[in-house]
Amino acid sequence: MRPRIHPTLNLALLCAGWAVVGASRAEAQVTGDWTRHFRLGSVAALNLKGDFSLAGSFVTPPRSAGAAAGDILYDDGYVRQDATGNAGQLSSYWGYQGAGQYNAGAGTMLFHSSSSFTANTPSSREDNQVDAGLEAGYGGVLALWGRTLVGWDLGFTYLPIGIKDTRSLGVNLARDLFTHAIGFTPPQAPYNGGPSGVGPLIGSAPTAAGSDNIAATLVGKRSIDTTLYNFKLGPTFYWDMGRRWSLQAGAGGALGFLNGAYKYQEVAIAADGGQTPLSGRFGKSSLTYGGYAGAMLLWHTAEKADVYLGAQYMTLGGTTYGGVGREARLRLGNGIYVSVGVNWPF
Amino acid sequence: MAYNHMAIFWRWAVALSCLLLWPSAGSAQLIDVTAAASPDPVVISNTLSYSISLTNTSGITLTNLVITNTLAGSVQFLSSSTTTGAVFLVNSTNPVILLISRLTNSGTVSFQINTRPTALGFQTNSIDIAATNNSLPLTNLTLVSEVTLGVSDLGVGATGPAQTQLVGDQATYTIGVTNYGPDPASNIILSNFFGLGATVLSSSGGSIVGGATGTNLALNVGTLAPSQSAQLSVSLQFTNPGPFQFISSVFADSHRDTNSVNDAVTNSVAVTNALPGVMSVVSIQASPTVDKQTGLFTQKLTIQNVGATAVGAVRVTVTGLSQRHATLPDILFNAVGTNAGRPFAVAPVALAPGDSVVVTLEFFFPTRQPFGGLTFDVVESPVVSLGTSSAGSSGISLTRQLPSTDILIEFPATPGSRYTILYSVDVAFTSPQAAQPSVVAPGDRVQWIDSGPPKTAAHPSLVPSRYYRVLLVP
Repeated sequence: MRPRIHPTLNLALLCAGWAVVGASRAEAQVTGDWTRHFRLGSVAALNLKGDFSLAGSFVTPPRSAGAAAGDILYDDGYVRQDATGNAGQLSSYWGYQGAGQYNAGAGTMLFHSSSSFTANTPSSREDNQVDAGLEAGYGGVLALWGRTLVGWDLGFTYLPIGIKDTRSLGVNLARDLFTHAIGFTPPQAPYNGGPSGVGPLIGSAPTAAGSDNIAATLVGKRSIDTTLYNFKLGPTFYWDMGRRWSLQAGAGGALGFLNGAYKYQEVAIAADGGQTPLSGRFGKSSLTYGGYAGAMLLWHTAEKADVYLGAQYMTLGGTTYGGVGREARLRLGNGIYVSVGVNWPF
Repeated sequence: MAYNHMAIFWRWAVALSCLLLWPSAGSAQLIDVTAAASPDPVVISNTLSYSISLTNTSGITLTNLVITNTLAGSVQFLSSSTTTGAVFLVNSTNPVILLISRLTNSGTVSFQINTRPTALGFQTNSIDIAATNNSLPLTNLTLVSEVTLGVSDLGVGATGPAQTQLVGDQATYTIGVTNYGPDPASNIILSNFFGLGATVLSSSGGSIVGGATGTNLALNVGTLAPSQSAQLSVSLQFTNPGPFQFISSVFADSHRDTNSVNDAVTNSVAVTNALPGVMSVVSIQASPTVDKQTGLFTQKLTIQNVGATAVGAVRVTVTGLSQRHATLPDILFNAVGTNAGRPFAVAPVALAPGDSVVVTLEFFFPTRQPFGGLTFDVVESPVVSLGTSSAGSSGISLTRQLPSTDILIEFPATPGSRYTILYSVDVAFTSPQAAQPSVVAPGDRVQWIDSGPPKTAAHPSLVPSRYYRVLLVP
């Protein structure tokens, strides 16, 4: 699961800031009476994008792969091992979903097992949720230039990012067909038999019966779940605006480390009702870089601390998650980052 | 000296008291006392309150009334409180002493002594009332309270065989014990008493207390919270003919049961020796393969009454079933009982001398291989009553006649639940009968086949009409 900053922590940081405000007294702060500062706060990111695309042919894993020995799981039914161990190559532990699966003339029950699907869906750009993280910064003074204090700032941001694509997608499903012998009229569909060995019996051995293709709908979600570790360094310009207020602006370079994954959890629902569950994950770590520019409004307190509210525009290169044909590109080129916290000059 | 002053004072006080009380002195009733303990019974460690009320009926004002309340040794004093009048607590250790300094004629004083019992059983509280000037005859009364672990209404219900049994038949009595509250009940004992004529085969659901005797089996149910139930069973084999009673009763040590009506239940059944009818198996038609519709093997027995008297029902007992599968035994699937370890089915069919009936026995052979080593004993069975009520039953979703002319019905079900199939000659189910035996749903739909006796009284092809319903067995 993608790490998140607990809302309580964000609230605590806000409260800490306002507590400092409450304890303040009307004292002036003079530009230049400090040489270093440290800040800690929470940050929210907006306008991060993810481009999701699905195009190509994809193999679907056999549903029986994870089942117990002797169990066969189909998209539209199952033939499992009953309490007798399928004595006589018969099983009471079977089920089917639709009346169309039964062929009275042949005395067989038809089951489907998807082998692959093809998709050619247009890419979709999705916005991130309002992701919240933590930021910290440390800086110093370089020079006083008129009423402007020129300094430097090194910042760090920890930001979990989540972007989801929940579209239902049309796909074409390729399926292998299997039949099981059944010598009587089965219970009405849908039917789910039990393992006792008593009740309607079906042949436990499948017979391959070719393959087919069918339109299907892929429902579920695809998501980018990643964490951005971001370092920023650049000059700052600091102005006092009266006794309590200051403004700081800055710009510089940014370096990011992304560690996350593309995840999908879907079900391919065939037009005739069969269901194929699909899930997977593509993990990846990558470096990215870019630049930032931003400003911060500070409110001085008497406790040698400032409460700040900042906004920042940061452009970082993106990264692509996924495999061939199934991918999602994370776009961090126009990120807006709003932060709030406490700054301690010293 | 102080002593002389006190002695003079007491002499004057006694003289004055005698003077004041003179008009009533020696009368039998100078003061009315009522006292009650609450609650009764009381749960151990809960508060037990003694409410005492005194009314002066002497005609004069009484002074310095001393109430000496002697608690049982295991009862602790907690507090005292006054409802009416003025009462002073003089001593809070046992005995508890309270003082009423003045009680006018017709005046009443009411107060409570609150205590905590710490031992089970009946606890006696003594109350003595006297005046310090001895002007009042000593009044003494006692209150006895029962201290219990709890107050609960324990109830028992039991089901057992209702039809007449043959000697050697095995029957299971299913007994439900319920605590209707309000308190939890612990160490609940279910006592099952039965007459001579049966031996206990097994029991389940409780630990046997003191070992089984020939006529009694006590089971410790343990603890039941309010509204909690426990289900137990006792299996017996009838050994002697005659009326047989199985009486189940429930109680819990050191608990007060607030409702004795449901504390015991009696199940009665008649047990008889073999009946005189003589029957013979004329033919056997065994299915060589498993029926894929049901997962069962069938054997159709044609049975003829070769005796001189009519019989009310036919019992077929199967011998030779074994375990050919690694884990599952062969079973007679439509058995309704067991006699001396052998399963039997009962066809509810009356046969006049010379008449015959086809009985379809169903077997679950887990190997799904036929088995020919079975023998069948056919005897006259006590008449069985299959009449029942259709209340709560539901319709079925599918009825179909099979090539064999058997009737297949199908209904949705909850896997693992038990259902009784009801059938009737009319759609209104004015006289429904229950097919034997009830069935456990193997899947979420049940297919059940009416192949006639022993499931139903006659093959469906031999009756003008037959309707079906299904009843979920609770």
